[in-house]
Amino acid sequence: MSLFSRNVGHCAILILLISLAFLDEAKLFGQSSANIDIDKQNRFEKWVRPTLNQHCLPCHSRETESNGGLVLDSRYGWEKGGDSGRAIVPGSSEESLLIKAIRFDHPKLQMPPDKKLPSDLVALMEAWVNDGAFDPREDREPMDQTASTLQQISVKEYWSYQPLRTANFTYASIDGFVDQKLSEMEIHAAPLAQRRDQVRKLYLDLTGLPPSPETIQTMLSSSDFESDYHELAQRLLGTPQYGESMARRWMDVVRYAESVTLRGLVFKEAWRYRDYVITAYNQDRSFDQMIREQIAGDLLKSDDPNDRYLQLVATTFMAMGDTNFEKQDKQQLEMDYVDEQLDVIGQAFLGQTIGCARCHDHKFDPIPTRDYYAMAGILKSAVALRHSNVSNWIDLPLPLGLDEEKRFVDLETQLKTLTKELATKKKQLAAKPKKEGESDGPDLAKEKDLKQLADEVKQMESNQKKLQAQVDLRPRYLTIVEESPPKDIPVHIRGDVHNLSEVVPRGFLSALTDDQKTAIPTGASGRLEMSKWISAPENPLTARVYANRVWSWMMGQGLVESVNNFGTTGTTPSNPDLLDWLATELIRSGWSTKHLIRLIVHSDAYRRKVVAADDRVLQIDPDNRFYWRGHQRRLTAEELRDAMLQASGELDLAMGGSLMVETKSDVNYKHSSQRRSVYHPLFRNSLPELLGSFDFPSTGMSVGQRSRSTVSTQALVLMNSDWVRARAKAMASRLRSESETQDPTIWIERAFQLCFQRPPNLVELETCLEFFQSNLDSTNPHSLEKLTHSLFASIDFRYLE
Amino acid sequence: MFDNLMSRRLILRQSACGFGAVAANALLGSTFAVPAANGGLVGTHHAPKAKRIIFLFMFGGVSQVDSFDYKPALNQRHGELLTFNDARQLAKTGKATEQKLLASPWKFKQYGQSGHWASELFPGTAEHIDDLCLLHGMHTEGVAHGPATLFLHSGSTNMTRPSMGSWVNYALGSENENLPGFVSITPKAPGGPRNYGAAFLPPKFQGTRLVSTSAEQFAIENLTRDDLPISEVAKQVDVLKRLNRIQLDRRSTYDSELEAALESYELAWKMQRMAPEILDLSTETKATLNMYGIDDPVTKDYGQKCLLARRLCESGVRFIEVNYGSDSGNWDQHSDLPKHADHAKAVDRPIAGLLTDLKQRGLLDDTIVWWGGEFGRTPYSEGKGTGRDHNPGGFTVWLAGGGIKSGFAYGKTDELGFAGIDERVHMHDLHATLLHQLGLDHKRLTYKHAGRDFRLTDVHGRVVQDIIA
Repeated sequence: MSLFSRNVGHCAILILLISLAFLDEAKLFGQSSANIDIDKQNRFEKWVRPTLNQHCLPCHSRETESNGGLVLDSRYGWEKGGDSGRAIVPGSSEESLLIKAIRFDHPKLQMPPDKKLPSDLVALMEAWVNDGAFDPREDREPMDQTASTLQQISVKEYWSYQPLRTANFTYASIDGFVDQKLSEMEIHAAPLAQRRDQVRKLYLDLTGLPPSPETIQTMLSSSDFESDYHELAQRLLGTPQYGESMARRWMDVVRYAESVTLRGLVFKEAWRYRDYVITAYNQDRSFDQMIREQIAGDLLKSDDPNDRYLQLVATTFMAMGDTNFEKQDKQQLEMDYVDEQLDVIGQAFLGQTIGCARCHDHKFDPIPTRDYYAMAGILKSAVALRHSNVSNWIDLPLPLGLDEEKRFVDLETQLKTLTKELATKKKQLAAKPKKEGESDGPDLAKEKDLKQLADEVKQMESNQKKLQAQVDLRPRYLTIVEESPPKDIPVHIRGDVHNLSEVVPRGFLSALTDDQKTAIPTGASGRLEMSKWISAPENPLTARVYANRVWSWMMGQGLVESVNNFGTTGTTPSNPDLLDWLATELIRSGWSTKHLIRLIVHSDAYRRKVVAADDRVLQIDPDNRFYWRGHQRRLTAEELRDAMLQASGELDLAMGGSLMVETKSDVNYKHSSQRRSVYHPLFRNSLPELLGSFDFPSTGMSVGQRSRSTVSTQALVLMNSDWVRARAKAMASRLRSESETQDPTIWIERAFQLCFQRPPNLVELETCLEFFQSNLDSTNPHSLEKLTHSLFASIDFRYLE
Repeated sequence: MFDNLMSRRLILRQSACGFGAVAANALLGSTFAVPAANGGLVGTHHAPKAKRIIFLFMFGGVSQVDSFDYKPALNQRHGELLTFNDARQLAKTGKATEQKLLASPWKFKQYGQSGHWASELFPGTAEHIDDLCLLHGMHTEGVAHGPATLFLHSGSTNMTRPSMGSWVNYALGSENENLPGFVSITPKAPGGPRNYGAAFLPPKFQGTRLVSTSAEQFAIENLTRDDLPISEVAKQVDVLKRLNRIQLDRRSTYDSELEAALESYELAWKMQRMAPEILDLSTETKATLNMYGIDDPVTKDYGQKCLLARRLCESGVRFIEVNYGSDSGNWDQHSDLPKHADHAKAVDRPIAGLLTDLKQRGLLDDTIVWWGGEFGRTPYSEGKGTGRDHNPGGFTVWLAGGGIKSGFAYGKTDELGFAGIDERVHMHDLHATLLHQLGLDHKRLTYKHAGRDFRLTDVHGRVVQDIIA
């Protein structure tokens, strides 16, 4: 009906006709009140009840579903209405949502969804409503509205919402807590791993790279391994590779990427955020500060230009979502954008799935929809998008030193002036030549003048291009911009931007908020306050979530296994006291990540051997939730790639900056650098080699724990990919050039050292030598290449012992 | 993780599913229930009518009023100005706008016993009209290609969600352990990997991309290498396997994951030898090649892909997407509507060939062929020019086989072919119905992520019982 205007008229006439028909019917039945009741009764039974039963109740009754929160199986149901409000206002079809829906007037509110009712039925329903909506059906028990509220009160008692325990711990070391649990359960801890395995693991965990064979040798012959191990840990925490390796872990959590999937649009400046994270970890920047910087760095202050730089680029965190910039409903796009931000903030810092409350009160956690829109209002008070057909993200010029600033301002002024002049000249050129002598400006009727003008325009255009190129050199950063004045936004019913309810004042999670302390000052959006509220030591979630995260990074799994979900649908901590102690240590040390890591890697729990469980332990703790043995560590996609480059001698350890080759779209982008994986442009449509096949996480969402798959595609990549073959070839030439004799035994021994940091055992050596011999000519360059290739593909390369 | 060796190995073998998934149970732990007997992870919820889906994706959006939705009134009223709720304008401004009707330049006629209409763009497909179920009242979300294409594939215009093929793969797995359960043949549409991605489902359920390596060849990436003869590769694989075994034995403890890694090599090696055969079209007879139009340069490309789809379907792949259209050429005729004819020509004979072939092999009984784009096109011209803009509010999709009614038309648009007005089928409904035919309840096919259960159809979708045979 909303199709085109003429039909509307038809329909209105139809309604009128049907209404008239009803009047006639009413007349026939007489006018006494009793008769009217019978009349109403008849109409209800003959038309209304069957219509409701057939077309509405399949989705709107207590027996089936209550879509949109609406049930129509009794008067009570339609009076109460659904999420959008009261369904029927007796006597007024115009005010009744139900009638609006069946009329198909509104493109977003059309019921039944598959098909408009025949017009005569629509008219009958209208008449029924206008006539008082007589409904003889038995009123059903009102639905229990208090249930979810009650549940929420008890949910507040859930462990993760309880204040952090900060004192009176029984132990002052990780092993104290772990051993106590183990002795309670009568599980014997496995012995410490061998020195070589401990050192390899420490290296990979702290730097993402395997150690050199020489380091292993030194550590194996150490006369005081304990103190050398501690010293090594300290040294590794000080290497630049530590920050790179930690940053990569955090980048999973913040869905780091440098492009969006749709159209492959490229975030040219996102790499600055990656470098921020690397710098922050290398400086051991306090994590509470990192939280504030990532959420609201633009609203912080600093006189130190370096610091200011870091604060600004940290906000890229807010703008890296895999946004669908060409979504045409821009209102919806903006709310989707905010939703994505809330989702990441919730999971990354609070371990909360706030997104669940977009459409309805959180079913499991104490997060009512009001809270969602209270926080959404804060984020909506910042601008993240400039709309056009394909909306644009915001990138702003970075502050520069005074001289540089002036240089760019001058360039921009020049460009502006030139552009303006150019426009004038172009207009002249385009204008029809007047009669000779009539024009004030150049005489365009004269061919000579015309040509001169055209040349001038050409020259100016070229200058404009050059100037633009220089202006473009100004460094920028991806961010969001605070808009003033900030605005509260209404609850969106069922998450629908076109179905709004009451306005909610901006705020935070009510279950965790002491209103007095967290009030948002007038004029402020609340984003800075939100970042402070999240990073406050009193927030029971934040320190726990981060301490657990760091623990899971080092130990292979979290004390709370669902690292991104501390809600009631997540798991509970296997050792709550230890978790609180770690969180307390984190806060006490000034939110120092390095402090936590030091505590962990020094512990016996971290250094244990990977062993099999006997039957009894298999019953009690098959998944090693109590850390009685070592965790089977395997190389991540990036580590695998970096380790191959290191073994082949090709790894380039240069730090920072952008490797991106200018490109409009990320599709089919060719990665060519031999820098560490973390520095490759992280393109959503073109991941660097190996990454896609080895459980690299989805960049469309926050990922706390990567999947761990073992599939044959991985084997195929290791056996057949050009990239792996090229590394094998490079390693073969390295081996040949490093050794003076052309002795296969020496090559094999060195290859094992480079790949596994151990010598081959006798069987291995024999197998390899045999392989050389079967290839007839051991000097055939391919034999060595095939061998190095096989070592890369073998399980010892990917799995630590 | 370290219990009885034999039983573990047994589980590993039995749980093999998807693209060489060798250790689903051991590796994914509590995420899944015990693998179902059919080798899938969830198994079916009810008796299935179909085992697999071939999706012929017409990227760019085919115009319904120029293909299968015959609108004589449109031709009669060509050139008239009328007010429409144009989806793009509505999304941007919330207002209706005046548009100029554009007649279809193509003639329609009735085909088959059923007498349904088709335009001269699809003479080949039309010969199969009695096998098709035409859904004329389709509607969907998203006015631009990106959002609508994502919605078509994953049920969401903006969020990163698993694609439909991944859901199917997750639920049912592949019927053939040497092949992936979900294959997308040369995907080029916007949305890229998200259109065949697993999102939060385990990565092994993602679609495997078939790339074209030459005008005649298609390959799974890294499936083979071309620098060595297979006999030499075999030698290398042999030494690798021996080293792996020694390394495993060196370790003091048994670990199912390492065992799985070893098995993954066995499987990869098997796949490396078997799968290329399935992708090799040279063994097909000339008659078959001709049936798909592979003898004609115009239809060769899509013909090969359709034939590949048949071969994959025969080999047990669950969900095969046969993509048509790329950035440089697709159905998106904003101007120059006559170009629709080029695209129709490129796909019509191959599609007809596919339907004939599936039918004569008895595969159409348990295979659903799904033809359609991400949306339709407007019956009026865009900007009063020579083409048509996107139209998510009403368009045609057809299905064939797999227990769907044949020679049947369901739903309709208004007299001008703009908006679905009757027996409308939303894309969520289509997803729900397709899953239903595979034996899956779209409301129960869920995966827990970020604290809640996700579905392909979110909180929407209904099974369109009326089109089920």
